[in-house]
Amino acid sequence: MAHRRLLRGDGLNRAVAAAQAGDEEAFAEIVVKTSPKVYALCLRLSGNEHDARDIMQDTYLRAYRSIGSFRSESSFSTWIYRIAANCASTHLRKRQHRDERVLEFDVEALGNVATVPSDSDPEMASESTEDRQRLVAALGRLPFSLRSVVVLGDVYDLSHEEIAAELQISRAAVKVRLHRARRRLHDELFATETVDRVSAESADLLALPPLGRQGAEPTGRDGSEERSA
Amino acid sequence: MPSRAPVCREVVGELALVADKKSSPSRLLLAHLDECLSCQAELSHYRRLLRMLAELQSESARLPEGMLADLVGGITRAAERRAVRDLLTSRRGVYLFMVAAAVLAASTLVALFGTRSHRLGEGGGLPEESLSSGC
Repeated sequence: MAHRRLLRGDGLNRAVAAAQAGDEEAFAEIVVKTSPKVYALCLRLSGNEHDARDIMQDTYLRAYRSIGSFRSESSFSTWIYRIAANCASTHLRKRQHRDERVLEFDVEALGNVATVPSDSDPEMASESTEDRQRLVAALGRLPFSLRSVVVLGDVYDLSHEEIAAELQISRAAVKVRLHRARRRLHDELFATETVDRVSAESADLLALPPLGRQGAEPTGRDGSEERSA
Repeated sequence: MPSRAPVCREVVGELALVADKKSSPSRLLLAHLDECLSCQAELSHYRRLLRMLAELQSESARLPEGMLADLVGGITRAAERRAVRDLLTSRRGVYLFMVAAAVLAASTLVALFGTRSHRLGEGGGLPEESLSSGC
Protein backbone atom coordinates (compact mmCIF):
# COMPACT_ATOMS: atom_id res chain seq x y z
CA MET A 1 0.00 0.00 0.00
CA ALA A 2 2.85 2.33 0.86
CA HIS A 3 4.15 1.89 -2.68
CA ARG A 4 0.80 2.73 -4.16
CA ARG A 5 0.68 5.90 -2.08
CA LEU A 6 4.15 6.71 -3.35
CA LEU A 7 3.01 6.65 -6.95
CA ARG A 8 -0.14 8.63 -6.30
CA GLY A 9 0.86 10.78 -3.38
CA ASP A 10 0.74 14.53 -3.08
CA GLY A 11 4.54 14.66 -2.95
CA LEU A 12 4.70 13.08 -6.36
CA ASN A 13 2.01 15.39 -7.74
CA ARG A 14 3.95 18.40 -6.50
CA ALA A 15 7.15 17.05 -8.03
CA VAL A 16 5.35 16.47 -11.35
CA ALA A 17 3.97 20.02 -11.34
CA ALA A 18 7.41 21.43 -10.54
CA ALA A 19 9.08 19.30 -13.23
CA GLN A 20 6.53 20.53 -15.76
CA ALA A 21 7.56 24.06 -14.83
CA GLY A 22 11.18 23.17 -15.69
CA ASP A 23 12.56 22.19 -12.27
CA GLU A 24 15.15 19.49 -13.00
CA GLU A 25 15.63 18.54 -9.36
CA ALA A 26 11.93 17.81 -9.16
CA PHE A 27 12.31 15.42 -12.07
CA ALA A 28 15.14 13.65 -10.25
CA GLU A 29 12.77 13.30 -7.29
CA ILE A 30 10.20 11.70 -9.59
CA VAL A 31 12.84 9.20 -10.72
CA VAL A 32 13.71 8.31 -7.12
CA LYS A 33 10.06 7.84 -6.17
CA THR A 34 8.80 5.93 -9.18
CA SER A 35 11.77 3.87 -10.36
CA PRO A 36 11.30 0.78 -8.11
CA LYS A 37 7.83 0.13 -9.54
CA VAL A 38 8.75 1.04 -13.10
CA TYR A 39 11.77 -1.26 -12.85
CA ALA A 40 9.49 -4.08 -11.73
CA LEU A 41 7.42 -3.53 -14.88
CA CYS A 42 10.53 -3.38 -17.09
CA LEU A 43 11.80 -6.64 -15.59
CA ARG A 44 8.45 -8.30 -16.15
CA LEU A 45 8.29 -7.16 -19.77
CA SER A 46 11.86 -7.89 -20.75
CA GLY A 47 12.56 -10.76 -18.37
CA ASN A 48 16.19 -9.85 -17.74
CA GLU A 49 18.22 -7.13 -16.05
CA HIS A 50 20.26 -6.22 -19.12
CA ASP A 51 17.29 -5.19 -21.26
CA ALA A 52 15.39 -3.79 -18.27
CA ARG A 53 18.26 -1.38 -17.58
CA ASP A 54 18.20 -0.05 -21.18
CA ILE A 55 14.43 0.24 -21.15
CA MET A 56 14.57 2.21 -17.87
CA GLN A 57 17.03 4.72 -19.40
CA ASP A 58 14.83 5.18 -22.49
CA THR A 59 11.69 5.46 -20.37
CA TYR A 60 12.95 8.23 -18.11
CA LEU A 61 14.62 10.16 -20.94
CA ARG A 62 11.40 10.09 -22.90
CA ALA A 63 9.41 11.03 -19.81
CA TYR A 64 11.78 13.96 -19.18
CA ARG A 65 11.41 15.21 -22.73
CA SER A 66 7.63 14.91 -22.77
CA ILE A 67 6.67 15.73 -19.19
CA GLY A 68 5.10 18.94 -20.51
CA SER A 69 2.53 16.86 -22.37
CA PHE A 70 1.39 14.96 -19.25
CA ARG A 71 -2.17 15.89 -18.34
CA SER A 72 -3.39 15.08 -14.88
CA GLU A 73 -6.64 13.54 -16.18
CA SER A 74 -4.83 10.18 -16.05
CA SER A 75 -2.61 9.09 -13.17
CA PHE A 76 1.11 9.68 -13.46
CA SER A 77 1.76 5.97 -12.87
CA THR A 78 -0.39 4.98 -15.87
CA TRP A 79 1.39 7.61 -17.97
CA ILE A 80 4.86 6.34 -17.10
CA TYR A 81 3.83 2.67 -17.42
CA ARG A 82 2.64 3.43 -20.95
CA ILE A 83 5.98 5.00 -21.81
CA ALA A 84 7.82 1.99 -20.36
CA ALA A 85 5.63 -0.39 -22.37
CA ASN A 86 6.32 1.52 -25.56
CA CYS A 87 10.07 1.64 -24.87
CA ALA A 88 10.13 -2.10 -24.10
CA SER A 89 8.30 -2.89 -27.32
CA THR A 90 10.64 -0.66 -29.37
CA HIS A 91 13.75 -2.01 -27.64
CA LEU A 92 12.86 -5.65 -28.18
CA ARG A 93 11.79 -5.04 -31.77
CA LYS A 94 15.12 -3.32 -32.50
CA ARG A 95 16.90 -6.29 -30.99
CA GLN A 96 15.04 -8.57 -33.40
CA HIS A 97 15.75 -6.29 -36.38
CA ARG A 98 19.45 -6.36 -35.53
CA ASP A 99 19.03 -10.13 -35.51
CA GLU A 100 20.28 -10.29 -31.97
CA ARG A 101 19.35 -13.15 -29.75
CA VAL A 102 16.40 -12.37 -27.49
CA LEU A 103 17.66 -13.02 -24.00
CA GLU A 104 16.03 -15.77 -22.02
CA PHE A 105 13.50 -14.87 -19.36
CA ASP A 106 15.46 -14.92 -16.14
CA VAL A 107 13.08 -15.92 -13.35
CA GLU A 108 15.82 -15.34 -10.80
CA ALA A 109 16.05 -11.70 -11.86
CA LEU A 110 12.46 -11.37 -10.75
CA GLY A 111 13.52 -12.51 -7.30
CA ASN A 112 14.47 -8.86 -7.07
CA VAL A 113 10.82 -7.93 -7.26
CA ALA A 114 9.24 -8.22 -3.86
CA THR A 115 5.84 -7.77 -2.33
CA VAL A 116 5.19 -5.41 0.51
CA PRO A 117 5.16 -7.59 3.65
CA SER A 118 1.64 -8.26 4.89
CA ASP A 119 0.35 -9.07 8.37
CA SER A 120 -1.74 -11.98 7.14
CA ASP A 121 -1.68 -15.56 8.43
CA PRO A 122 1.85 -17.04 7.84
CA GLU A 123 0.38 -20.25 6.39
CA MET A 124 -1.71 -18.24 3.92
CA ALA A 125 1.30 -16.04 3.20
CA SER A 126 3.51 -19.02 2.35
CA GLU A 127 0.76 -20.46 0.13
CA SER A 128 0.43 -17.15 -1.67
CA THR A 129 4.23 -16.92 -2.02
CA GLU A 130 4.24 -20.33 -3.64
CA ASP A 131 1.36 -19.30 -5.94
CA ARG A 132 3.22 -16.14 -6.85
CA GLN A 133 6.37 -18.04 -7.73
CA ARG A 134 4.43 -20.41 -9.94
CA LEU A 135 2.67 -17.48 -11.58
CA VAL A 136 5.92 -15.60 -12.22
CA ALA A 137 7.50 -18.73 -13.69
CA ALA A 138 4.45 -19.29 -15.91
CA LEU A 139 4.59 -15.65 -17.05
CA GLY A 140 8.23 -16.16 -17.92
CA ARG A 141 7.37 -19.05 -20.20
CA LEU A 142 5.03 -16.88 -22.29
CA PRO A 143 6.45 -15.23 -25.43
CA PHE A 144 6.81 -11.43 -25.27
CA SER A 145 3.76 -10.94 -27.51
CA LEU A 146 1.48 -12.61 -24.95
CA ARG A 147 3.36 -11.64 -21.79
CA SER A 148 3.36 -7.92 -22.59
CA VAL A 149 -0.41 -7.85 -23.11
CA VAL A 150 -1.30 -9.79 -19.97
CA VAL A 151 1.19 -7.86 -17.82
CA LEU A 152 -0.06 -4.47 -19.03
CA GLY A 153 -3.72 -5.42 -18.95
CA ASP A 154 -4.13 -7.69 -15.95
CA VAL A 155 -1.26 -6.54 -13.74
CA TYR A 156 -1.05 -2.81 -14.52
CA ASP A 157 -4.70 -2.36 -15.49
CA LEU A 158 -4.14 -0.59 -18.80
CA SER A 159 -7.14 -0.54 -21.11
CA HIS A 160 -7.21 -2.45 -24.40
CA GLU A 161 -6.91 0.89 -26.24
CA GLU A 162 -3.86 1.94 -24.25
CA ILE A 163 -2.14 -1.41 -24.79
CA ALA A 164 -2.91 -1.31 -28.52
CA ALA A 165 -1.46 2.19 -28.80
CA GLU A 166 1.77 1.45 -26.94
CA LEU A 167 2.48 -1.94 -28.50
CA GLN A 168 1.36 -0.71 -31.94
CA ILE A 169 -1.11 -3.51 -32.53
CA SER A 170 -4.86 -3.52 -33.14
CA ARG A 171 -7.45 -3.74 -30.36
CA ALA A 172 -8.62 -7.04 -31.79
CA ALA A 173 -5.06 -8.38 -31.49
CA VAL A 174 -4.95 -7.24 -27.86
CA LYS A 175 -8.13 -9.16 -27.12
CA VAL A 176 -6.93 -12.32 -28.86
CA ARG A 177 -3.53 -12.23 -27.14
CA LEU A 178 -5.08 -11.56 -23.75
CA HIS A 179 -7.36 -14.52 -24.22
CA ARG A 180 -4.49 -16.81 -25.25
CA ALA A 181 -2.25 -15.62 -22.44
CA ARG A 182 -4.92 -16.17 -19.78
CA ARG A 183 -5.68 -19.64 -21.08
CA ARG A 184 -2.03 -20.63 -21.04
CA LEU A 185 -1.51 -19.28 -17.54
CA HIS A 186 -4.70 -20.98 -16.39
CA ASP A 187 -3.60 -24.29 -17.88
CA GLU A 188 -0.16 -24.04 -16.26
CA LEU A 189 -1.43 -23.05 -12.83
CA PHE A 190 -4.60 -25.06 -12.49
CA ALA A 191 -4.00 -28.11 -14.67
CA THR A 192 -3.22 -30.23 -11.61
CA GLU A 193 -6.38 -29.12 -9.83
CA THR A 194 -8.44 -29.85 -12.94
CA VAL A 195 -6.84 -33.29 -13.30
CA ASP A 196 -7.53 -33.98 -9.61
CA ARG A 197 -11.14 -32.90 -10.03
CA VAL A 198 -11.61 -35.01 -13.17
CA SER A 199 -10.02 -38.00 -11.40
CA ALA A 200 -12.35 -37.55 -8.44
CA GLU A 201 -15.32 -37.32 -10.80
CA SER A 202 -14.17 -40.46 -12.65
CA ALA A 203 -13.84 -42.23 -9.31
CA ASP A 204 -17.40 -41.15 -8.45
CA LEU A 205 -18.63 -42.48 -11.77
CA LEU A 206 -16.83 -45.77 -11.22
CA ALA A 207 -18.48 -46.03 -7.83
CA LEU A 208 -21.96 -45.65 -9.30
CA PRO A 209 -24.73 -47.77 -7.85
CA PRO A 210 -26.18 -50.59 -9.99
CA LEU A 211 -28.30 -49.52 -12.99
CA GLY A 212 -31.55 -50.24 -11.25
CA ARG A 213 -30.92 -47.39 -8.77
CA GLN A 214 -29.53 -44.84 -11.26
CA GLY A 215 -32.82 -43.14 -11.98
CA ALA A 216 -33.27 -42.21 -8.34
CA GLU A 217 -30.34 -39.78 -8.15
CA PRO A 218 -28.60 -37.45 -10.58
CA THR A 219 -25.62 -39.17 -12.18
CA GLY A 220 -23.92 -36.40 -14.20
CA ARG A 221 -21.24 -34.31 -12.56
CA ASP A 222 -23.65 -31.41 -12.33
CA GLY A 223 -26.96 -33.14 -12.80
CA SER A 224 -27.60 -31.17 -16.01
CA GLU A 225 -28.12 -34.25 -18.12
CA GLU A 226 -31.01 -35.29 -15.89
CA ARG A 227 -32.53 -31.85 -15.99
CA SER A 228 -32.31 -31.56 -19.76
CA ALA A 229 -33.59 -35.08 -20.36
CA MET B 1 -37.86 -23.87 -29.97
CA PRO B 2 -35.45 -22.97 -27.17
CA SER B 3 -31.78 -22.63 -28.21
CA ARG B 4 -29.51 -25.45 -27.13
CA ALA B 5 -27.34 -24.74 -24.12
CA PRO B 6 -23.69 -24.58 -25.19
CA VAL B 7 -21.55 -27.52 -24.22
CA CYS B 8 -18.60 -26.97 -21.90
CA ARG B 9 -15.94 -27.00 -24.63
CA GLU B 10 -17.80 -24.26 -26.50
CA VAL B 11 -17.94 -21.89 -23.54
CA VAL B 12 -14.59 -22.64 -21.97
CA GLY B 13 -12.90 -20.19 -24.34
CA GLU B 14 -15.34 -17.44 -23.43
CA LEU B 15 -14.66 -17.93 -19.72
CA ALA B 16 -11.12 -16.54 -20.10
CA LEU B 17 -12.53 -13.24 -21.34
CA VAL B 18 -15.63 -12.79 -19.19
CA ALA B 19 -13.69 -13.50 -15.98
CA ASP B 20 -12.54 -9.86 -15.72
CA LYS B 21 -16.14 -8.56 -15.78
CA LYS B 22 -15.20 -6.05 -18.50
CA SER B 23 -16.80 -8.21 -21.18
CA SER B 24 -20.39 -9.27 -20.67
CA PRO B 25 -21.15 -12.97 -20.96
CA SER B 26 -23.74 -14.14 -23.48
CA ARG B 27 -27.14 -15.20 -22.21
CA LEU B 28 -26.36 -18.76 -23.26
CA LEU B 29 -23.18 -18.78 -21.20
CA LEU B 30 -25.02 -17.44 -18.16
CA ALA B 31 -27.65 -20.13 -18.51
CA HIS B 32 -24.98 -22.79 -18.89
CA LEU B 33 -23.06 -21.51 -15.86
CA ASP B 34 -26.21 -21.78 -13.76
CA GLU B 35 -26.23 -25.51 -14.16
CA CYS B 36 -22.63 -26.55 -14.91
CA LEU B 37 -20.43 -26.97 -11.84
CA SER B 38 -17.40 -27.75 -14.00
CA CYS B 39 -17.59 -24.42 -15.85
CA GLN B 40 -18.29 -22.61 -12.58
CA ALA B 41 -15.03 -24.08 -11.26
CA GLU B 42 -13.17 -22.99 -14.41
CA LEU B 43 -14.55 -19.48 -14.05
CA SER B 44 -13.47 -19.34 -10.41
CA HIS B 45 -9.95 -20.41 -11.51
CA TYR B 46 -9.82 -17.57 -14.02
CA ARG B 47 -10.97 -15.10 -11.38
CA ARG B 48 -8.32 -16.38 -8.99
CA LEU B 49 -5.72 -16.01 -11.73
CA LEU B 50 -6.78 -12.40 -12.31
CA ARG B 51 -6.59 -11.64 -8.56
CA MET B 52 -3.09 -13.12 -8.43
CA LEU B 53 -2.02 -11.04 -11.43
CA ALA B 54 -3.51 -7.85 -9.95
CA GLU B 55 -1.61 -8.44 -6.71
CA LEU B 56 1.67 -8.23 -8.62
CA GLN B 57 1.02 -4.53 -9.22
CA SER B 58 1.85 -3.68 -5.62
CA GLU B 59 5.35 -5.10 -6.01
CA SER B 60 8.51 -3.06 -6.38
CA ALA B 61 11.96 -4.06 -7.56
CA ARG B 62 15.24 -3.35 -5.87
CA LEU B 63 17.30 -1.30 -8.30
CA PRO B 64 20.73 -2.74 -9.15
CA GLU B 65 23.63 -0.80 -7.72
CA GLY B 66 24.37 2.37 -9.67
CA MET B 67 21.13 2.36 -11.67
CA LEU B 68 19.59 5.32 -9.88
CA ALA B 69 22.78 7.36 -10.36
CA ASP B 70 22.81 6.38 -14.06
CA LEU B 71 19.19 7.43 -14.49
CA VAL B 72 19.65 10.78 -12.78
CA GLY B 73 22.95 11.28 -14.63
CA GLY B 74 21.21 10.60 -17.95
CA ILE B 75 18.55 13.17 -17.12
CA THR B 76 21.17 15.74 -16.08
CA ARG B 77 23.06 15.26 -19.35
CA ALA B 78 19.81 15.59 -21.31
CA ALA B 79 19.03 18.77 -19.39
CA GLU B 80 22.48 20.17 -20.20
CA ARG B 81 22.10 19.33 -23.88
CA ARG B 82 18.73 21.01 -23.88
CA ALA B 83 20.16 24.13 -22.22
CA VAL B 84 22.97 24.33 -24.81
CA ARG B 85 20.47 23.84 -27.61
CA ASP B 86 18.25 26.57 -26.21
CA LEU B 87 21.22 28.89 -25.93
CA LEU B 88 22.30 28.16 -29.49
CA THR B 89 18.77 28.65 -30.70
CA SER B 90 18.52 32.01 -28.98
CA ARG B 91 22.02 33.06 -30.27
CA ARG B 92 21.08 31.96 -33.73
CA GLY B 93 18.10 34.31 -33.50
CA VAL B 94 20.36 37.19 -32.55
CA TYR B 95 22.79 36.34 -35.39
CA LEU B 96 19.96 36.13 -37.90
CA PHE B 97 18.64 39.52 -36.73
CA MET B 98 22.10 41.07 -37.03
CA VAL B 99 22.66 39.61 -40.51
CA ALA B 100 19.25 40.86 -41.63
CA ALA B 101 20.01 44.33 -40.24
CA ALA B 102 23.41 44.37 -41.97
CA VAL B 103 21.87 43.30 -45.29
CA LEU B 104 19.21 45.98 -44.96
CA ALA B 105 21.80 48.63 -44.13
CA ALA B 106 24.02 47.54 -47.00
CA SER B 107 21.19 47.55 -49.52
CA THR B 108 20.12 51.03 -48.32
CA LEU B 109 23.67 52.30 -48.81
CA VAL B 110 23.88 50.72 -52.26
CA ALA B 111 20.57 52.26 -53.24
CA LEU B 112 21.65 55.71 -51.99
CA PHE B 113 25.01 55.44 -53.73
CA GLY B 114 23.34 54.29 -56.95
CA THR B 115 20.89 57.24 -56.94
CA ARG B 116 23.71 59.71 -56.33
CA SER B 117 25.85 58.26 -59.14
CA HIS B 118 22.88 58.36 -61.46
CA ARG B 119 22.30 62.05 -60.66
CA LEU B 120 25.99 62.84 -61.23
CA GLY B 121 25.84 60.99 -64.54
CA GLU B 122 22.79 62.98 -65.72
CA GLY B 123 24.04 66.54 -65.12
CA GLY B 124 26.10 66.97 -62.12
CA GLY B 125 29.32 65.54 -63.70
CA LEU B 126 31.61 66.81 -66.52
CA PRO B 127 30.48 66.23 -70.14
CA GLU B 128 32.36 63.62 -72.16
CA GLU B 129 33.52 66.15 -74.84
CA SER B 130 35.13 68.46 -72.34
CA LEU B 131 36.96 65.52 -70.86
CA SER B 132 38.28 64.39 -74.24
CA SER B 133 39.15 67.90 -75.55
CA GLY B 134 41.07 68.75 -72.46
CA CYS B 135 43.66 66.02 -73.08
